[in-house]
This record gives sequence, structure tokens and C-alpha cells, in this order.
Amino acid sequence: MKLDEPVAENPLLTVENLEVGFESFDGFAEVIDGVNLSIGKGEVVTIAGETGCGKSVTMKSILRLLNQPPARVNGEITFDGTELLSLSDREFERVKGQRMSLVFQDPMSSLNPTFTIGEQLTDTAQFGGDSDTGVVEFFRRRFSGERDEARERVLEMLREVQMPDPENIMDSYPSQLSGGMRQRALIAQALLNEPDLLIADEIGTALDVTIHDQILDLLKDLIENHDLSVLMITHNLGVARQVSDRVYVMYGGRIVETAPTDELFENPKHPYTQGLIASIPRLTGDEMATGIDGSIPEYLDPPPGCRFAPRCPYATAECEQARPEMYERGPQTGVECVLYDEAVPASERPTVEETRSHMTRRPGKQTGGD
Amino acid sequence: MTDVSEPLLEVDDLEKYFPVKSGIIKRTSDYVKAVDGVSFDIERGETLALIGESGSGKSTVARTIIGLTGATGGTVRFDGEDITNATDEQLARLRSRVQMVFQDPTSSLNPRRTIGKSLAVPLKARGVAKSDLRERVVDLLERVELNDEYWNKYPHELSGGQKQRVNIARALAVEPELLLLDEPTSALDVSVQAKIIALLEDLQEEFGLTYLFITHDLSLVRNFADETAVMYLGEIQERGPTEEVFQRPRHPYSRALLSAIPVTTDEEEAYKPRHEPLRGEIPSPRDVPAGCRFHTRCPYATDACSTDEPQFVAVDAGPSVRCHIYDEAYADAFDDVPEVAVAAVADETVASNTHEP
Repeated sequence: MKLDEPVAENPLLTVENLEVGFESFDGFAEVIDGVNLSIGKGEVVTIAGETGCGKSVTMKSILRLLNQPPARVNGEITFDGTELLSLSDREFERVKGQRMSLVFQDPMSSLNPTFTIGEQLTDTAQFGGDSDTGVVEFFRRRFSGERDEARERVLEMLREVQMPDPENIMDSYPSQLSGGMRQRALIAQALLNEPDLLIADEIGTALDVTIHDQILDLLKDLIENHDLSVLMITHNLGVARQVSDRVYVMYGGRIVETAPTDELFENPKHPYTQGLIASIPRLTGDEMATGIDGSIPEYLDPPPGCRFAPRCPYATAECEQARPEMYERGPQTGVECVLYDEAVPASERPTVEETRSHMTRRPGKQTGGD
Repeated sequence: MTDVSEPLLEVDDLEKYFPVKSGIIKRTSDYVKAVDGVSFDIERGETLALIGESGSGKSTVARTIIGLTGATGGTVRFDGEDITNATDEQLARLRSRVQMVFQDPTSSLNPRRTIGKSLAVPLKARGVAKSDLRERVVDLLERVELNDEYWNKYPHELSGGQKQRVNIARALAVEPELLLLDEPTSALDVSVQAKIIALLEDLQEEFGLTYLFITHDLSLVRNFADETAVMYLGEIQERGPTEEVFQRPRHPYSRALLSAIPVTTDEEEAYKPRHEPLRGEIPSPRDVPAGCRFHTRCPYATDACSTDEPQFVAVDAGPSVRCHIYDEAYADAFDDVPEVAVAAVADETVASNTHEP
């Protein structure tokens, strides 16, 4: 897979060679190191990875939510033909407000506790994407028939996200709602501007399993009905499998593997992906791996070669020296691991079972991290 | 030695009601029935998993056992001794035999104490001599696969998994027999979670520990627990050997929980019951539904479910279930009864009966 060629057909969003670093007292932390990703029109794409692997930083740099400085963002982000990083803040606000939406992870803290759900959502419906309407325009919109129309739209949207008793909810404060209802309100808010791209950051993770399940079902319906392109961010591979068309696995600020969902779960290639899948407790009652040794890299001083090398059971001296290429291994499938070089015979490539057995063998007393 | 056949922990009809106060004089107007008639036993060296969503009262059960809150009714017996609402003198003895590990590894460590100091506290309380402290702490750290470098570190220098290891080491310091594990891995990533579970398994084998494992994640207990109990709104809805609960989940709530797990292989999909999404959300424990507590969300609920409270009865000599579907007096009222065995097990039975590949 060439780095300059987006994977998705007919891409809506492409991110090329994204690099994000943070200036800190201890030095410069290179967090995101050359991320390439793309989302096709109508495609649901997931970024999966554990805490601290850079999923949220990637999402935030796409939406310009990082303060610069201390953050430094480089690369190319193209949304439907427009290069985003070169836009002025105002132009970007417009694109973002009209065509992109974000649903945050925490339904508790993403709604303003001092306004009712109705007020917040109606404001979004009326002013979304216009941060500088001016006083006159503000009063005109706020106190005219437009307000009632917007309110109707909000009600309709609340019904669409299957909010129980939407009329009453409009006049309730977020604190009066349960977690599941707040999550529904946030999804409704995100859909009010009829976005082309929905970014969902760990949606429903803070909720109970049965509610989480309801939210995912709802999301699947909405994606279909609104023909949304979605970038999902999750640490739960099971969720990625349920919802998405294609998955990017991130580790240490890099994409280590990408594949269509079925391919990724049937035939995971990168040792990290394999380790992650092997570590998930299984319903079949099969033994699960005992986790991946070590901890995520220190971004102030990341490993010079493959960032997974220090934890990889198959690492060689070569891995520690240079970053591996992204090798193409089928349609829309790539893996950043030297084991997938043409020169390496297929028999030497690890399977999930091998990785599992590497990780199930109880190690001796280790000296350090999780 | 005490009688081996006697369970280490017996909980019988445990109740914990929290009063709701209202008005100027703070009169008790109502009760939140957090735990309402919970019974279970744990044999020595075994693991019981207590499963439920937030608000189901599973943590309150653990807190009541260890005496962090008093019980409203029922009894808790530990090693034959009644420890319900234990006296201070009882507690002092009890706490060197029962310990708890909490969910959030960060907030359960004092940020201003080094790991060494945090671990020395329970040892001092046990009367370990000052000169031996360091050695004993290092022993503890090694027991949880850390080393003496951690003696001088502060909690903020550790990752979540390492902090949880320290918490487990601290609980082990007094050499307890029973560990109450309150969601010990839910704040951790999967690869770290797997390591903590492996550690807990090793420790159980090595020291013959007994675990009460509280979690909301059903898939986690499949390998780990001998018995599983599913809680909903302060009551146990289904309790039985883990294998049985997973392969033949009987209560509609257990089935819903199982079917909601996002899994990663098709093979596992076959281990999930038919997908039956629940209606609505868990009701407030202040206002518990009449009849069966689950009827407001149950896909099978009939009229009888909203009036008559189901009994907790053993089904087919296997697990006990609190559901009218398994009560002969009500069985006729249900026209759509779930196929109990999950697909994977059902297939096995069919295959072995018909000798087809």
C-alpha cells in the first residue's frame, strides 16, 4: 500500500501523513507519527486501540480541537476536496458546523447542566456553525417563528433517536436524565445539522451493557437512514466488529494495521492486533491470553524502529532500528510489520493462536509494567 | 481446623435499605432498597461472580459483608461466625481475614504516600516489626510481579495496571482468606485486564484464596468463576454453576446481558442467546416495580408478572432462577418461551444425536 494513496474509494475525508506533537516541560513528545487514513462516502470506519495510543488526538486534530501551541499539527487533512489545515479558523468553523458532527464519549459532561435539553438542542439547530451571527441577527432568530420551527425539528430528531417522552425531555435538565437518555440527546444534537461526517468517540462506553447495546442498535439504524460517513473511535474491538465496515488499529501513535472488518477479525496480522484479540475474554470458555507484556511507549523518547518492538514476542534487531513499511496484503488491507515483507515466507508469519500461546505461557517474574 | 464442608461465607436473605430523608425535620419518607433479600454461599477456595448493571446493588453486597455499611436485615456468616453488623472487636479480627480491592486503582491509593509506605500500613497494623517491614513489602511486591524499585515510587508514576497490582498486594498484606473484588479490572485496558485476571488466578492457586468477584462484564467470568449470580435491582435473578449459566441462561435478564456482549468471532456469536434487546432502562431502586422487578423491561412479561412476585427456585436441578417462566403454575401464560440452550450447545446436542458432521 502506498502511503500517498488513500485506501477508501471515493473518499470523503483523507488524512495524510499526520504528525502531532506536544511541547512539554520534559521535551517534545511525538505522539502521532505519520498517520494515513481515509473514510469513503457512506463508510463506517473505526479506529481501535488502547488508552494512550493516539486515537483521540487524531480525532481532535481533524476537528481542530487541539490548542496550538502546545500542540503542533502537520500533515494534510482533506475533507471533500477542501484542505482543512490551511483554512482560517472562521472558514473551518463553517465547514465543521455544517458538515461534521462529534458525539463525545462522556454523556454526563458534554451537555450544559444549566440549560434544558430543549434550549441546548434548539440553539444548535438555529445557530450551529454560525459562531458570529451578530446581535441583531441573534435576536431576530431567537425571537421569531424560526425558533418554533427549530424546536419542532429538535422534537422530531428526539423521536428519531427513540427518546422516551420527548416533549417532557425538552423541558428537562441534563441532570434529570439517565445516562442512556443523555447519550440519545447528544446523538440527536449531532444529527441536527445533517452532517456528512459523524465522529463518534467511544460512544456509549460509559453506559451499562444493555443500554450500550440499545445505543449501538440505534446508531446502526441512523447510519443507514441518514447515509452517514462515520469515524468511530473505540477501545472495544467487539464494538468495532459490530458496527464498522473497515478498521484501523492504532498503536503508539501509528496505524499498525488496517483491513475490512471481516478480514481483520478472521485473519488479524499484526502481532499487536493478534495480542489484543487474544486478550479479550471469550464467551466460548477457551483460555484467554494473559495480556501483552510491557506498556505503551513513552512518547518523549519513543522506540526508534517499530514502536511495538519492545513488547512484541517476534521482534528482531531489525525491528528496533527502522520503522517498518506498511505492506499491502489484499484489498484495503495493510500491515506495518516486517514479517509481512515479500521476502518473509508465509510460514514465518504468526497466527493468532501462536500469539496466544506466546502470551499464555506464564512469564517469569517480570520487572515492570502493565 | 474447621469443618471443610462448611462454606467460608454464607449470606442469607441480606437486606440493605438506605433511608430517604425529606422535609425540614428530615423525616425518613422512603427507602432505597439497594439489596433486598440476597442469599449465597461461597465454598473455600472457590470464586463466586456477582454480575449486574450499575444500580443493581452488587457493590453494596460487598460493602455490607465487610462492614463498611450496616445491614438492615438478614445474616452474613464468615467461617461459621455471625458477622452481620459486626462489633469493633469482631471487625478487627475480621479484616485480617477478609479484604477488598476496589474498582478505581487511582483513587484507592494515597497520592502523597510512596508505594512502600502504602503497603507498610497494613503490615504495621498486623504488628510486623519495623526492621522487617521493608523485606515484607518487597515480598508483597514480588507476589504481584512487581519489584523493589516500586518502594520509593508515588502512585502517579505507575500505570493503571501497576496501581491495581499494588492494591491487590495491599489487600494480601494481612494474608486474608476471602477477597472481595469490586470491579478490579473495569478501569483497565483489555491487555492489562488479562494480566490482572491471570495474576488473580495464580494467587488463588497459590494461597487458596476465596473470591467474591463483582463485575458488569459477563464474558470475564466465563473462565474465572465457579459460580455466577446475576443481580437486578437488589435481587439475585439467577444463580448457578458458571458453565450452566452461560450455556443455558434461563432468566430473560441473563439472556439479555449475554446477548449484549460485543464479541470478536463468529464462534462466539454461537454462544450468545438470541438477541433480545431490553426495553427502557433500569428503574430507580426507590420505586421498585411490583411483582417481578424485571417485568418492565422483560420481552416475555405477562400480566401475572406485574402482580405476582416470582420465587427463587431451582430449575432442572441446576441453577436457581427467579422467573415465572420456570414456575409450572404460570407456565401456560407464556406463549413464546426462550430456547434455553445457546446455539453452540444446541448444535452439539443435535450433532451428537444425529451423528451428522
